[in-house]
Amino acid sequence: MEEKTRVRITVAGTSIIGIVYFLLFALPLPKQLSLKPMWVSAIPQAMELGGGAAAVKGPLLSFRIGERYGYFDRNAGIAFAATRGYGISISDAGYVSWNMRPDTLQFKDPRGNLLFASSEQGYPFMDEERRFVVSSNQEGISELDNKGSILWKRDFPSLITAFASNKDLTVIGTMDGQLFAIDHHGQVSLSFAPGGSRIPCIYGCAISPDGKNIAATSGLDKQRVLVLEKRDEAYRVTWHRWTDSDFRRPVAMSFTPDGRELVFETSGGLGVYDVASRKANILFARDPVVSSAALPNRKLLLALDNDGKPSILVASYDGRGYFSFPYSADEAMLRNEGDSVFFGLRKNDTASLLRLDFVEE
Amino acid sequence: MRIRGLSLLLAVIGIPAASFAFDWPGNAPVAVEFGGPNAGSPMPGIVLAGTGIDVRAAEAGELVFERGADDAHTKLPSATGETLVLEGADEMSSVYAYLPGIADPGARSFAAGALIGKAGPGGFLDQDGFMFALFDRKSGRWVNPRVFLPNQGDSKAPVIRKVSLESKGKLWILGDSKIIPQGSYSIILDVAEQGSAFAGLVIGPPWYIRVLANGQKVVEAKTEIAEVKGGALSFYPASGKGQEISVDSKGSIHIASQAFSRGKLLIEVLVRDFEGNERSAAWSLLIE
Repeated sequence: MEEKTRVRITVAGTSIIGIVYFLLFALPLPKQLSLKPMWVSAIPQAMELGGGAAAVKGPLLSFRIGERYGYFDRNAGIAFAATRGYGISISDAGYVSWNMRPDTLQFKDPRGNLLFASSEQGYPFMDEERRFVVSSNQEGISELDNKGSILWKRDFPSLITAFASNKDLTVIGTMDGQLFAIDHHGQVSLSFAPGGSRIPCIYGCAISPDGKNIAATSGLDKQRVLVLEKRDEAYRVTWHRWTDSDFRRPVAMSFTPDGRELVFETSGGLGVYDVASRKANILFARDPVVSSAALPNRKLLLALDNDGKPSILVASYDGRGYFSFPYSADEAMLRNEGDSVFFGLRKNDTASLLRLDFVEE
Repeated sequence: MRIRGLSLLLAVIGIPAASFAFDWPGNAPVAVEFGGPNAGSPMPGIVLAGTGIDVRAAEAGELVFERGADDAHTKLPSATGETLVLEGADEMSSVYAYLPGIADPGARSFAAGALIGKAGPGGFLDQDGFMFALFDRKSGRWVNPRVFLPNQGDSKAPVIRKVSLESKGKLWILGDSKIIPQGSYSIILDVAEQGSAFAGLVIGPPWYIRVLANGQKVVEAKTEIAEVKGGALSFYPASGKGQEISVDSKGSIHIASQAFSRGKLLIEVLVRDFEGNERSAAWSLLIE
């Protein structure tokens, strides 16, 4: 009897302590990050300028999915859509399209209003708010101001193979393996030949938003990625890595919007270089990576790869893959605004935009 | 003459002549010579005109760089359309540009004569065709492909269309102007090649240019080694002698400023193409 009572008291006491502990010291379950579908919007093959502009609200975001391009807002409104002719370059600040042998270049704002027409000979392109023209022999670049006047114009020793810019500097890579940084006046503020490979060539380049770091993928046999950091008014190589990659085409690389990481294509996936720690991680995607987007506030990277079995990869900056899922499309694009991710997909004649938001649940 | 010139050039840029075995990359007429203008810029190679003709590797080479007219990996458009760079012997890169596409996108090496693609509209070229260019990595300059290509059996001499003197923005066309004030003048030559196969005049400078003023050599230049500078192609003498000349975006040849003092002035111009065909002309002027 006493034994039974002791057992009951022990069980009751343990239960009470457990309940009290649960009530007083309960820890919330960790929230899980998930992608929440927000909307899907079909992209018409063509929508006249202004046709959808009245319905859209807020700033317009640019898209380009293969041949189709245009603008949309965060709430599924398509402001305008068109199918490109020969060439198209588009950013959130405007767009320019051209034919194979253009007489004049017409730069337009996102609502289709003509900003200016330029008779500069070459192919035009936009990089955020900056407007450039590459000469017909691919050896010269000129920058135009917002009225179409030439701000600066410069020739390079051989074919231009790589380009990057921030608001202050333009970085050019050439076929003969030279890297140049050009300021707003067209003056060369950096001239550097990475060397070290059997055949020199610049395949990709990037510049951080603050201009403190410049990166390049250079050379053949072996290929390497290097980062130059600005110290005492001069750029010096602070990191480099020989890679197993064997790219002989333009290579995508860019700094994240906060400038803390460099994301670059490398063999077998994407590399992420952390500027502060000077360490790099590799995220395993499959070559070729079609498009990627960085979410600095979550330290997440999204990549679309397409080696015949296209998939979307979500991974952390340190190389841990969270999840990947296949998609079915002939062409795809990816971009983000904060925690909202926009996928553009085209299959046959049907193209759509999807918005997915990262949420913690 | 040609062989001696070639040997000298090769010696200067440090290449043994035996290293090269180039053949024409396409069975098509030359429409633009090395340095000739195209859409506001000088061509760093020669343009062969035509559509649908085979474009073949002029020599064996390893693929260094390839890009299409539109490449998702870069914001930079390709004004040279589909472009292929092959690394050949002795750090000489051959460039095939303004193609609509390439035959084998996965190929890493090309044997001499291997099919690269078909010529056609591609990139910002004034006419349908393609460009073949050679870049010497050692000197960091473009080399006239004519130096290495076999002769085509051309028997037509270049044409001297116009020679002008320019000073402070004012132009005197020789033949029209008989009297000019004393001072410093740039000499501008408007010269064109006549291709044996091409229907019209071939755009671009001839291989050899010599200008004499009162029997004194003003310039003797060969359009063999060049660099794009300030929107023009500047030529450099292989021998270290001679004088730099440049070709502007309209194809006119500019020769550095010369001072002419009072008296009679006889200007003699001699131009010669790669196959030895030459033409000369002379003008008499009075300098006041």
